Amino acid sequence: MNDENTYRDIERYLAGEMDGPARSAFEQRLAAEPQLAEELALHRDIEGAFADPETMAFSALVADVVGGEAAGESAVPKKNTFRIWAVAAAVLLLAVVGFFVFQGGPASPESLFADNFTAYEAPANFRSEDPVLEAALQAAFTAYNNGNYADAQQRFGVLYAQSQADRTVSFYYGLSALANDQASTAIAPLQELADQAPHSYRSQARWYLALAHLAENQVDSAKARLESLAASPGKYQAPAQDLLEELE
Amino acid sequence: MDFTNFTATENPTGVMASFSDKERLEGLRRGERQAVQSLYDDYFDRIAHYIVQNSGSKTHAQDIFQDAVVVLFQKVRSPEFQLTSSIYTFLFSVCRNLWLKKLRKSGKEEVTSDQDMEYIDEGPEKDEWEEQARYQMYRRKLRQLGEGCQNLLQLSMQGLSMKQIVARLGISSEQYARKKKFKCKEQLVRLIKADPDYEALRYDA
Repeated sequence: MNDENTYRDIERYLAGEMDGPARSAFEQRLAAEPQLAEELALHRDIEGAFADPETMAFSALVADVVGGEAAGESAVPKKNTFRIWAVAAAVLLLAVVGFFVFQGGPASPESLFADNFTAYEAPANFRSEDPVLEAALQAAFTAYNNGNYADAQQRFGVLYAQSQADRTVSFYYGLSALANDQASTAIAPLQELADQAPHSYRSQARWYLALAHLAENQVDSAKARLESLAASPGKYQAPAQDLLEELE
Repeated sequence: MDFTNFTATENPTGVMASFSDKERLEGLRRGERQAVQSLYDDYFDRIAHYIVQNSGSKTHAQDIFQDAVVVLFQKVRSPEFQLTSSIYTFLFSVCRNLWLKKLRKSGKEEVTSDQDMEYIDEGPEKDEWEEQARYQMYRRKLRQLGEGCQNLLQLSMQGLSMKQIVARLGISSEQYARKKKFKCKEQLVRLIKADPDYEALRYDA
């Protein structure tokens, strides 16, 4: 049930893209093949889970705050080191073949940055006890949320220059710079956050710092950060492992 | 039980549903991190205690708590929504309901309950809560994929064409994007089916 043609048929059926004869033929298959019908039900359910971008973003935010997503217990066999490297080797082989078949060459650090960077979500509103600071932050976040990263970088930069103790300011200053193709500017604030004792932005800062190093073609620095993330359970462990495989 | 007619009850501090609860609901409706953090800081430990006392782990508690907060988020976005109990009562009710379902599937019974609290009993809300719990499991599995896969699958399921996705993500070609999408989805489905909760959630779906 996991071949590409079956997946494509399921997606076309769910999207209403099959014409009359194709649809009838597929529905006959559904009636005759319970496993296909179950697969269709699962794919329909998955689409329902991912359809609303606001709920997806909120779910990710909650996961980030609460942390420790269960990898599954009892029925899921534990990984062993050999299996991890065997899977990594197979993935690496597929990735290399895939790249040469579809792209004609290995990805550069800069393109890996582009493939993996998305701006981290920001609050629509941010409150502070200081009304002047609150107004400045609101303006900065508004620029950030509107995708006006140059403006956001400038606004967060002013606040960052006044004080580097505010982690929210440091983080979004770094993110704004990174989104504004100013990776060299992003490195300092992200590095400060990445090297501090655990706090709510530390894992994100480490991930985006790794990406900033890639954007600057600082591959060794990127790898060092990614290896640390790959070795730590959390949201960025799997992405860091994937990216390390691509870098290798 | 009709949730909107549920009578008000006390939150753990002995104070009726307060202005701070209203602020938190507004913050949740806007998807603000501070609102989520405040719920976690104030309510997680007590809910985790209940789940751990009833054969669960802290990780189970984290997952269930996340599910309940997302259920609440869905509720507050509805124009007709009106919370007449405390936020804690609502969260505890959802968590208890979802956890008891898991216990029943594994043949276990509730050992201890929070004797101090009233909670919303199962009713027409139950199916909604369980659907969100199932969706949350899928979302957790998606987050175990690489960020490239996550973006590709999300944009695809939100209705963007492959051409739009290629432009948005800077992928080299539609053909490569289609291949990558298949691989990502295959990986996601494999993760979902391997989850110990998959059969239990699917059976009731």
